[in-house]
Amino acid sequence: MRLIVRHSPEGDGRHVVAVFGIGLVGGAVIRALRSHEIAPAQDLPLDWRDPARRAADLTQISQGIEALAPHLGPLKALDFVWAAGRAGFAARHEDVEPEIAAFRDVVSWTRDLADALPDTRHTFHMLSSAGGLFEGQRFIDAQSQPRPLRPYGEAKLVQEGIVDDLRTTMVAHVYRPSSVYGFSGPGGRAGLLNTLVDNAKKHAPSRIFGGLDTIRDYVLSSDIGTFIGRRIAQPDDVSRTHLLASGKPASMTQMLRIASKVVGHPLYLKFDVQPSNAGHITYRASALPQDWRPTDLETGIRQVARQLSLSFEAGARRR
Amino acid sequence: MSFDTPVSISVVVPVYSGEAFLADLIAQLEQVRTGWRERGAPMELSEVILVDDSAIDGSPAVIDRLAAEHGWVTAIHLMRNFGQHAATIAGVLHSSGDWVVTLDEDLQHPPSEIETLLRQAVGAGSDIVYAKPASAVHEARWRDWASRGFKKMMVFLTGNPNISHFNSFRLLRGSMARAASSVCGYDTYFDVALSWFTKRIGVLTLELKDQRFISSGSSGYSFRRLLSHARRLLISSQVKVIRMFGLVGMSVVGIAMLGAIALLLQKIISPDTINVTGWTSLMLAILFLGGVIAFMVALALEYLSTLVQASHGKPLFFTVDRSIDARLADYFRSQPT
Repeated sequence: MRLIVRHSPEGDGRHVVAVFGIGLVGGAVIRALRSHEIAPAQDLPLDWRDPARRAADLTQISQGIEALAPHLGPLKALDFVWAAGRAGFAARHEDVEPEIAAFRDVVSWTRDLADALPDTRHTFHMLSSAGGLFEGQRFIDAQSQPRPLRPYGEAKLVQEGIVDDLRTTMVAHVYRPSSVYGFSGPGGRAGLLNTLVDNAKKHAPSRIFGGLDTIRDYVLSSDIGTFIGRRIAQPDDVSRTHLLASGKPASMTQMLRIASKVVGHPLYLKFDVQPSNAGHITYRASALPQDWRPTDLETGIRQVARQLSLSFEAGARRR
Repeated sequence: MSFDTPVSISVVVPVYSGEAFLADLIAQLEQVRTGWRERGAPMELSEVILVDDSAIDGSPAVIDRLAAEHGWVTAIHLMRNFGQHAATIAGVLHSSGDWVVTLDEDLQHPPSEIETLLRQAVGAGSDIVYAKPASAVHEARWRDWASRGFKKMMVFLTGNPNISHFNSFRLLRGSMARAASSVCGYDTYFDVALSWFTKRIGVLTLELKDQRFISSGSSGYSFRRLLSHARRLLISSQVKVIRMFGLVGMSVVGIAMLGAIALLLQKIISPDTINVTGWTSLMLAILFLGGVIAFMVALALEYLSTLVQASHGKPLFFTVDRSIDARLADYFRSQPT
């Protein structure tokens, strides 16, 4: 996890942001906040498996928050961003259980911290997953009910329930992004697009877990980072659940076509004959937040492909 | 798709000057939507996508108002006027229905006929159903004659018989419509791209009238736009004329060779009958070389045409799942026509 300190939006004082999970989305949130960051960020560990060690880590994080840039004044605001998660879409129950336990501990620690610092504004931000909650549903809008089909989605629903309880103590936002793509640095998460670009450059085949007509909704990680960053920089006093989708479905054919065009190489593809996640997931534009401005898919893919290319070149130079 | 989920229909409407018609259009589509729901039909009109193609009247504001009033209406605003095809493609790429219907803004395509198109599609196992006007659409002889003549000429030039059925009121299988839209480039003709994916094309005769043209006498189609259509149709299609050109070249080569043999035999058998020497052989040589050149040019153009089509995104293959049709077909069989 990473601690960031910045000037409090309320005036004189510190505003600390504790980001749990510095992956695709967590990293994007940090990058979005970077322009306002005023002290070097501090990285601290958080144990996923051992509850005793996790408790010790959380105590250390509390101390870190208090010790971070005290010269900036009193701690006026504290934002917690939960963007952590190791279990993927195909995770089993035994994979998601430790994550739920870790999340429960972090939320409990957050509540204790809020009790201990009553003069500080506390806000919690949780990254959920629209894909996990609404798998197999189309035309998802504000009235649609989550119906998870696999442990990953069930875990997200449990986590959202925990955040719901937290809303009696502090403002808590839940973000439900659709299928996220983006660049998270060298060695970062290899999503569909990153795999396609990487394999196209290596002239290697990519395995597609879905049909050519499977439709999904893709959002760029930096758009999510910017949106959450704005919620942190301009705090809202009402708890909300935000659906972060593009509202523009894209078929696998379209995704492959754009990827091939952007990379400038033919894509070698291998299709899974019985994909377990070939169901369509699409969202209505009317369900999206008003100040949410998703990047067009082709523009986003071009950005990511360029970042990946630069990363490959930098890696090759280092070798 | 689970069995209890209704078959979803998306409606795409490109809008250029539809201010006066849009509210009525949405009201009629809502009637279809509620009618299906009340009847417990296995299909649902799930979304209407209004694509503002930089409209020249007050349509953008009307579109936004309708989208705000109805959660199932989506507003899309194009940056500039890209044309009806581009607007349709943009709308299709925003759709997620199992079937996609495209229709014009001005109510010349009655929404109540969507069900008829669907019935025809699942009954015949079609992937595309075009509406075909039962009588003259514009009720102006020269305008309807020009439209028919243009299509006939394009059929002749391209060898694509489907061109005569092309109509902006069409029902498309959703997966195929999105795939075809995603491969369309700037100059690709949408309906030609659709025909790269399927040969199961149906036609349904309906009473369609262009009321806007009939009442005002003005049409969105100028001679310039007609030429632009023709150009895009020819660029997107494998042009039959090229092959005819190649055949003519080969025939000329054949004639020249036969003539050369005849001349050779004449020279051997009765050389006295040749009065002027050199002229015939010169003509045969010109004929032969002309034929060879014509054939080679046709061959090069054929290669070029294949490359252009590949760059336009003509697919090697595309898979389809038509299993959802069975439910609709059963339903329609149980319903009186």
